[in-house]
Amino acid sequence: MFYLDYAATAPLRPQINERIQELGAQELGNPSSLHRAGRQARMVLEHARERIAAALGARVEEILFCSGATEADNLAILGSLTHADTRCQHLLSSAIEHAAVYETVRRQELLGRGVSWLQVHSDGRIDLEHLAALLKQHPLSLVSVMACNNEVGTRQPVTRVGELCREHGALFHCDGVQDPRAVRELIRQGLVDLACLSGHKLGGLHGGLLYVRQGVAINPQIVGGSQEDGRRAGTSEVLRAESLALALELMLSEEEQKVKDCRNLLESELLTIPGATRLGPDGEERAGHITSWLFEGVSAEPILVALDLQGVCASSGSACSSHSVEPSRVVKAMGYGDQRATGLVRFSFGWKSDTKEVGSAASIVKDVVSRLMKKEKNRP
Amino acid sequence: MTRVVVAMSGGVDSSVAAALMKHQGHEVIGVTMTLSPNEESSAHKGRGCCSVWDVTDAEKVAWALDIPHYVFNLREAFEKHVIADFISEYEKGRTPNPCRRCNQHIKFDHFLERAEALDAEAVVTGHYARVEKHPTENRHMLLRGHDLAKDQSYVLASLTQSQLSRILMPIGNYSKTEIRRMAEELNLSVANKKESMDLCFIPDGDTAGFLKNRMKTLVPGPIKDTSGETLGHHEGLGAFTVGQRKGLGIATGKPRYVLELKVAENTLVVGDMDDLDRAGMKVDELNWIDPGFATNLPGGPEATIQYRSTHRGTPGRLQGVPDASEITVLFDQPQSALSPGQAAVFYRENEVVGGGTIASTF
Repeated sequence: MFYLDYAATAPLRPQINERIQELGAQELGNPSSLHRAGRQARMVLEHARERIAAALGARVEEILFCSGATEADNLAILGSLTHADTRCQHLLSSAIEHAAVYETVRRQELLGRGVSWLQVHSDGRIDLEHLAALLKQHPLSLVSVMACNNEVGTRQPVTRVGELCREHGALFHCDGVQDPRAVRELIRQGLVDLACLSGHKLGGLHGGLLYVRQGVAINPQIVGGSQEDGRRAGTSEVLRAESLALALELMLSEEEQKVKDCRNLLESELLTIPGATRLGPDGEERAGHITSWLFEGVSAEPILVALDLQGVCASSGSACSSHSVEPSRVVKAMGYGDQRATGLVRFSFGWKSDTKEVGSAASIVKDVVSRLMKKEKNRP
Repeated sequence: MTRVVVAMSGGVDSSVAAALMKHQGHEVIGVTMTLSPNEESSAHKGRGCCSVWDVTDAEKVAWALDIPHYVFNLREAFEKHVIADFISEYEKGRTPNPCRRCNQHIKFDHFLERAEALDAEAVVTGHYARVEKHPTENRHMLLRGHDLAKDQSYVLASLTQSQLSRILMPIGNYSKTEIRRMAEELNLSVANKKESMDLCFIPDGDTAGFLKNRMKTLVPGPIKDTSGETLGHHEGLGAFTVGQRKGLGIATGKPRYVLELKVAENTLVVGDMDDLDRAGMKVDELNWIDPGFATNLPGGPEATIQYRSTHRGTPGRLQGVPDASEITVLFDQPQSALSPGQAAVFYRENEVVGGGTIASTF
């Protein structure tokens, strides 16, 4: 099997698997309990929080564990908007956000809240001038812009977004699932108020975190306990916290170049196919681990099925509940029509990818895509 | 070993079809089509087909059979060819058969095309009908399923020779009881799954409510008898069907049946059961599965004619010329409740020789 879908999830890292088994063998209690078993669990939980805070340059009280990044995104947006101390009432976001943000903002819009949607360039980057103009109009906004787009790999100019928010007194939430390094940078520069990360994208267990800058108030969205400083009820998940800390440390210590080499290798193969178009910008404005393509005349579905039958796992970006391929909202926002938006094929790489494996996969991908494109051309 | 794609709905029939193909040694790929427009959970209303839970049922069978399984998104084509047609047919005062349209445009057109993209040699469905090579002529035959109570050949009569040559329907050789027993023996999780009866895109069965929401105009108008006397009013012609007795909202002391939907006058004509009798009908949108039968049309060939999915056919004669866009059908005995818009299918014993759409009746 050739796994080229790290932007969806990554295989579990063996170090984390070992650590989880080791902890699982201990009699860990509920971290809220006063007894020794509880203390033991609390020790693991709080050490994990400490390590994450250190890795990101944050304070421990700024790190809040959640079930995953979707919950963290919901909590960031709904929790800050509904808090009595929050002055920011308007929402600013874009159509290329992950569904965890997009649907949350959409729902607020349907409920009558003021929402403005940022324009998006054809390379998938948001229009900064538009953002500046909107902030002038609505300075007290919550701005939600992701660090790196999950479907096409476009890196957003989040440093500039953070600066604009600071200038206008707006709150800035950043979904950093596809780019923890960018979140670390924003935190270091003090340019972000809310940010989330996910463990399973990094080779850990499921489970995510929300960074809440000191001084930013949020209301819990799940109530029924005082865990996580009263901001997220439910027994704290010790193993997930430990896994997230390890995954983040390992990921941040790795060279980005290895993943880029894999990506470049596949791209050099795909570039030779007539009618193949890579989406998104070049250079530093794109993520190192994602490459997304449109193949003229062919939709993603037959390509993904044919690839799977040959052992290559790729994806069309976002999946719906019945895992059928839908037109990509992101590709549409970049200015492509409905037809082309069903054609998005995404390949993504991560900690276990190596160039030998990708080399073999690349020739399969090229064969499959060329064959299907030819078939489509010859169809009466 | 040939590669085949099985259309798996998550129901017992297509699940056993997949199992049979696998046991015959084929390389089997399971595919579930998502057709219904909404993505929202309808679990609280009861499960229609193509819900996420049906997809999961199909997947569980695929896992048990150790075959790959995929979901094809055919929502757009389904909306265009089936739902839009369903609504516009009702708007024209006709009674559509969406399953037939789905077979014609979705299952054996879009689906075949997508299966071919996967280098599959045939698509397999769980229909109670049989596709066989003619023993002497160079053509395929569409035959009624062995289980006549479950036979679905009526909704398949728009298939072409080119399509039939790439379709397999292994279920047609068995009875429903045998299929359920096989499913149990194979330990398939869907062995005792309830049969879906409603239209898949109207899971709550409220066709009138669906049409009310989707039709452009529903204009109230008169209900008249055959002499032109007004007996009452309807809320809009949509969703009335020839032969319908319930839900007319008129009290005349005797049962009244819908005889005709006069769209131009927005009038619903009702009458006695006897008034439903028709000597014949005009049939268009013709498709001849046995081209030889069509060449004999000038001789007024005999056939068994089925004009409703629940009907079992009645003898009559066909009149027309081989390439005509419309032919006339004369029944040996008058028939009641013929609805324009429904399929008319012509059988020679158990073989479908052709079919079309009821254009008008007389």
